[in-house]
Amino acid sequence: MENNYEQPLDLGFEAKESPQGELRFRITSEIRRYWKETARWGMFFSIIGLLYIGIALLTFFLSISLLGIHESTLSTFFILVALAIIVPLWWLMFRFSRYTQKAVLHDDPAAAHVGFTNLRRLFQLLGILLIILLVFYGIVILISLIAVLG
Amino acid sequence: MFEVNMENTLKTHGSLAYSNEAMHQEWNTTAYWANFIAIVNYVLLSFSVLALFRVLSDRQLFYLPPSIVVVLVFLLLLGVAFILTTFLYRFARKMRQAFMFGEQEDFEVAWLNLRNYFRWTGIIMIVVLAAYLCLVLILAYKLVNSFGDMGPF
Repeated sequence: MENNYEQPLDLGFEAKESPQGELRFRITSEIRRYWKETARWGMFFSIIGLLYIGIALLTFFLSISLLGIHESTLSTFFILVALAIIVPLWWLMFRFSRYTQKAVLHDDPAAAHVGFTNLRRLFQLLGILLIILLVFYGIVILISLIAVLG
Repeated sequence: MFEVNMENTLKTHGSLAYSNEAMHQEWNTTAYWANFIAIVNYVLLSFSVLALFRVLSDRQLFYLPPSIVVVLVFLLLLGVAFILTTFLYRFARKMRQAFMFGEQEDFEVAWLNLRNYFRWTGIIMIVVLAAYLCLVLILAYKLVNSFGDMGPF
């Protein structure tokens, strides 16, 4: 039997190309384990997010019922802004977790695609929120500079 | 043992055995935004460190320097934020390298880092929630005691 010592040790471990020449990665059991755990933590975050939304809504209705709509304008505004940020993040995180868990459990590539689409949207939304925050910081710094120099 | 591990790693599961082009597009965009978020976080963290040094060094601007506990807690928070950002950055970098060079190993390490990012964010969230709960319980206990000290009406 001829031993071929020229073979690389990672033979068979590299990403493969499809018959059409496209790059394809193997979804190993390790990767499935990572996806499963990531999705579990994602579900935990969405549960915490749901609790936060519940508390924010409770505060919103309490402030309206105790102070009236005109007196609680500022707090209502801040609660609505917080909800407008939290609710889409929560929804995307929930869908990512649910579909990724489903994909790993039922070996379903369609569910995996939906899960990863939601992960992509989640990171996109976080990035856009970060840009808005940076623009806001920039405006505040600019106004402060004008106030100090002017 | 090695063979068992090898077998587990090599085990494929029906139709989700290989990635496809649609998934690649999603992962590519995810890595792009994760990279952006991580770099902005690094910049914001370095600004925070600079601000801390400014507060500590400029006695004229701030009459009293902050207590050592406040500084240590601030540094701890910065350290935790740095570690989390590094997990996110590694996810983005490894995923992009995987697409660039077609390396299966980079692809696996990318997902390991995303898992670590989620895991440690979750653990820190649990710690913060537990701290909040303790604070609420201590405040409630003190409030009840203060009512007790007032004596009967």
